Amino acid sequence: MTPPDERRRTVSVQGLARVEGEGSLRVEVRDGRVEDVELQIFEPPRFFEAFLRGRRATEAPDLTARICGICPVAYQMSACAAVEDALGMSVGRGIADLRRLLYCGEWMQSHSLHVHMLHAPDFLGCQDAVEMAQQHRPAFERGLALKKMGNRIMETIGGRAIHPVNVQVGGFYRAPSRAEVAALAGPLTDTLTLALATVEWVAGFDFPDVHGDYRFVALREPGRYPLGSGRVASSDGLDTSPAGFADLVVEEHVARSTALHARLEDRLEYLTGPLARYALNSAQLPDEAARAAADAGLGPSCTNPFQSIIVRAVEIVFACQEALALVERYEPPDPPSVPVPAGGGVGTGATEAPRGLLFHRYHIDPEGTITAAQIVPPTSQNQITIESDIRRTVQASLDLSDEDLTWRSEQAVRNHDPCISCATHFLDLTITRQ
Amino acid sequence: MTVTGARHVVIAAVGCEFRRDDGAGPAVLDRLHGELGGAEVLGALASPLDLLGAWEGAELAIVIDAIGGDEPGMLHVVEVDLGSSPDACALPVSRSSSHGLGVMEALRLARVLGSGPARVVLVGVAGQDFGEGVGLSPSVSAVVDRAARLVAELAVTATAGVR
Repeated sequence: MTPPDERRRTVSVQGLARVEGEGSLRVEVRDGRVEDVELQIFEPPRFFEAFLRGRRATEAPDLTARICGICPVAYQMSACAAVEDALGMSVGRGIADLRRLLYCGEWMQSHSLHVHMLHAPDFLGCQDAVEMAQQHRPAFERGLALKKMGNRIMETIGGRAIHPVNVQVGGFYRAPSRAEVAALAGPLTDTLTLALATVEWVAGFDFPDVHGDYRFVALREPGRYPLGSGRVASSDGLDTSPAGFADLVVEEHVARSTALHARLEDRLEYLTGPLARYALNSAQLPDEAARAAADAGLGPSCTNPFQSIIVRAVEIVFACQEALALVERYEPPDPPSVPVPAGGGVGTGATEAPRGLLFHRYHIDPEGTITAAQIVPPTSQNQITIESDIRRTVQASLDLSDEDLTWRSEQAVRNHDPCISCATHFLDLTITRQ
Repeated sequence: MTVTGARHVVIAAVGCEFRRDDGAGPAVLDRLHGELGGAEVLGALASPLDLLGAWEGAELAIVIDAIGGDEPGMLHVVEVDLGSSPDACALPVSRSSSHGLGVMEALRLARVLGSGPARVVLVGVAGQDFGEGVGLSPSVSAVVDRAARLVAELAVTATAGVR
């Protein structure tokens, strides 16, 4: 172990590991106090927002799906919701349910990847997924099986697992047959058992005693856990439409970063993602997911960011249960999509990506062409809160060696599963102690 | 593209077309025409981790990916021995794409899990610009057809060899 210098410490990590995409982090500690935390992001800002201008509104779902290889459905769903809002469209329950089933598949594959291959190594002392596979093979293979089930749902509904091709504004190009969807039921039942085992597994990890005073923001809708629709709610009483929420969000440039940092107009930071969804919607979890959460020691909300791995595992259980329910009542929507009317407008769509609230806003001219686009991914919204988390975590961990403090700081970032590539490009980590 | 029941040879590309030269792999895949010796084209994968399931049972997997390097447009063909240390493979894999795990991690995982194809050949296209945007650099664009012919030749030769 490297003994810490009590007056000044510098820790540097080049290329933060196991975070989707790349970026950098610098922390300065002086006389035992964390003085500065900077999550630095280097990326040409808002490439896709510029890329969308001049494109047909109906192209938005396919184009924005390419922003992230891990959560393409989230981008497709938010894009469809925004365009449909702009054009005054509404889809029926059959199409909405099929979208929800597709989204369950993405949650399963994305959460399984993060829990088993990116986040669990932090708690098990493994350097990476390869070491995880070597030392904890049964758990790793369980993660692969869960991910595979998510991919299978995405292939069945979306045509393929990576960048699904069956989604369009208004619905789907083709509705899968009843038999195709029914074939998911058996494997999903088996997968639910695996998901419950994952909750039990991660609940046994050792967690640092760190808690955040979070302002949670997530979708909420009556009677069910949120995925692709709902109003935007917060833990301090906000309750507004996606359009109303988009009006409240202020994005600002920070000198050190080319990504935009999001705050609400009262200047306060907020957190989206599993902890927020759970805090605002835990009462809506279906029975087995709710029992798994309780058995894992979770109350109605969780403010320990390190325990987000438990919440993600519970959300995998939810996704399995929800998918099973949707499969059982599935009737192919006929027609599989509603027609897209001529005209334009301004529309906002918000859905719950695995990593948190993702909203799109489009200005569409009367010819159906996008004239302005705003895409706000969860990582942009969470960035300031992640910095606060790192500040808290480092302050509570100054007795650690530089090596261990660096590890703990990286964990503080990975707790939120940031999809840096949705918001940015390259990540390094530097901690300075003075 | 040809798909057969036999899984002698599979071909996959990794990369993102919106990260300029990172899209070299999918661009090469798009140019694959004509005789592939019955090889199965898996498509362009956004995440190399998806190789883990997709290449099961194959004798040979050909993986096309953009790489870093000093000479944009240079083609690298490296056969990875999954039975030995993957660190022995010095191919400079690109870090600029949005992959959660890289191709080398997928190869190492396949080795640890004892799964994957018997042989893996990486076809690397050296790029120079991995920033956001569409379109390949001229020096990379210029070698896409040649890379596609190279992949086809590898597939035809390998397929003939295992029949």
